[in-house]
Amino acid sequence: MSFVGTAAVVVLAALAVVGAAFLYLRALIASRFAAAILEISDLNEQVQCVAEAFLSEIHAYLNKIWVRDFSYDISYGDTHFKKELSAAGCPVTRAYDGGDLKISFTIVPISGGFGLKTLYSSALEHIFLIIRQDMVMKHGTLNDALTNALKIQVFVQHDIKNIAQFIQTSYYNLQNLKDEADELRYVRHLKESYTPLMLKANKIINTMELKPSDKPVPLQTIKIEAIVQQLVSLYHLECEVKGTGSVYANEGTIFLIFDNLVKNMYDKYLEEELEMSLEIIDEGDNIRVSAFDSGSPIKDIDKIFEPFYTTKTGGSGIGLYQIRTHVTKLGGTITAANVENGVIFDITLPKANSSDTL
Amino acid sequence: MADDNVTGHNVLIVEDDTSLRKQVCFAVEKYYTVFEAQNRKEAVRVLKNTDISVAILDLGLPPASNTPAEGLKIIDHIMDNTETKILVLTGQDDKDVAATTIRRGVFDFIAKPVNMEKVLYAIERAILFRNSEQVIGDDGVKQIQVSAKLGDGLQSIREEAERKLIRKVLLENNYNIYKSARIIGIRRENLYYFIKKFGWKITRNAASGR
Repeated sequence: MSFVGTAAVVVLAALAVVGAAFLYLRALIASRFAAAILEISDLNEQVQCVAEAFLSEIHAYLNKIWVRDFSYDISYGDTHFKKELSAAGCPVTRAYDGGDLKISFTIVPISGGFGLKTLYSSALEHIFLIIRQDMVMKHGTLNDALTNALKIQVFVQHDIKNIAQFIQTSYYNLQNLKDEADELRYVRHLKESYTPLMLKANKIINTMELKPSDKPVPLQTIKIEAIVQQLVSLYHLECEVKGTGSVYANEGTIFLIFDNLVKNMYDKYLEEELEMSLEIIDEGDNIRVSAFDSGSPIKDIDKIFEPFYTTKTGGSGIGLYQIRTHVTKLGGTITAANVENGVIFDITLPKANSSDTL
Repeated sequence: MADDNVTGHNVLIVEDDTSLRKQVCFAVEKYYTVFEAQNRKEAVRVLKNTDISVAILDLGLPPASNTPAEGLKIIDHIMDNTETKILVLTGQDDKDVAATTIRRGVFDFIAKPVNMEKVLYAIERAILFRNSEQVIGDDGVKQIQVSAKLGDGLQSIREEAERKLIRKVLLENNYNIYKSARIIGIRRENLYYFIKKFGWKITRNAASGR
């Protein structure tokens, strides 16, 4: 072989070695990036997807992929947290503007050459998605919590103001009673006030607690038809009440369940012409109360027992949820169905038996 | 305060909270004849059948008890169809809500909780205003309330004033076109034009005064 030929072979061999070394090095770097990204994902789980904690720990992991520096700027509502850049270089930024939630995350890579640009872009995208997911989750949860708290606050405020007005007015009335006839007339008004006031107080307490209390409550045999009839009269509803049945439970709880049920029919009656009926059916071990109205079907019927779900303007989404939790606690069931000519709610409760104290 | 139940005025109490309504009724029925309603349907029914001097109105009524929507609808109904003075007595004491009700023509806005004496004085004042307006009306002067936004020009104010004045006269004269046109001082054809313009429905009997 001539000298030239030998030299060419050596050069080619050297190039092949350098090329192989280069590819090997790139593979090593890519694998280091992949490992770092996996560790960064694990870190997010370790800090329970809390972006602030994640960002305070990420520095060590970014060092592994030769990121010189990083910065972030995150704001939602009145909360704002940020870190400024301190190192010079060519920063690369990803940002998100979701109105109330704004996120910006920047890294300063050691170099864009040597095929690193793609690796840094993919690392940046990955970290940014983690931060965004954490923040969207937190922001959503926070917003839901605030909205739901506001719903409860508005509801309670409305009722508390009425109770305060009730106290002011009854104080005025008591001070202005002139004679026995006045007193008798006042007692009549008070008697009419008792059930609605008891219902209101009961509802406020239950709404504030949201779930049935575990505290022991007095139990008694309760005639469902009597409770339902009282509520129908209270809401001035033209609704036939058929059948009889008793349950052994706390009176306040039974009032709360059926008040929410009848109030639901009442709200609907105020918006559309309705035929309504309530039937109490003895089913052996259980009492079933079937409430029918001829109104429009319920949208998203499978969601209506979820807490805070409502289709009504200004509705709290608490009433039907309250019914379900109380009915379930009593060992009963509640279902809602859109039928051909209206809507039926069925509540089943265990029947009072002869051993229950009357 | 006037002597017990001798004023001859009807007061409507629109309040969905039964226990509170009963207490307010007790306080008011000493001086006035009281009517009750716990929702818009009942309120409209009472207003249709009875000449109510003053309506004490809660804004947060079912089916939207946590918003003023139902109360505002009742205000519009009262302002369009009756001479009733409105006292808003509500827990919805947001400034915007108060401004909205005043713009629509309520006589007074009272935030709960309030001393009952204040409510009774407000009723008395509202009746005084109503009576005075009737006396002025007997002299051929009609009072109407127009809310105007400065900068919108005079056209909208003129139209609103026309609408309210014509509606008021028609209402007071049981929709008798001949009599109403004479009181307003326009020709019957012109009155028909306004009725059509404002989209009101007048029955044949009412138009002929029968």
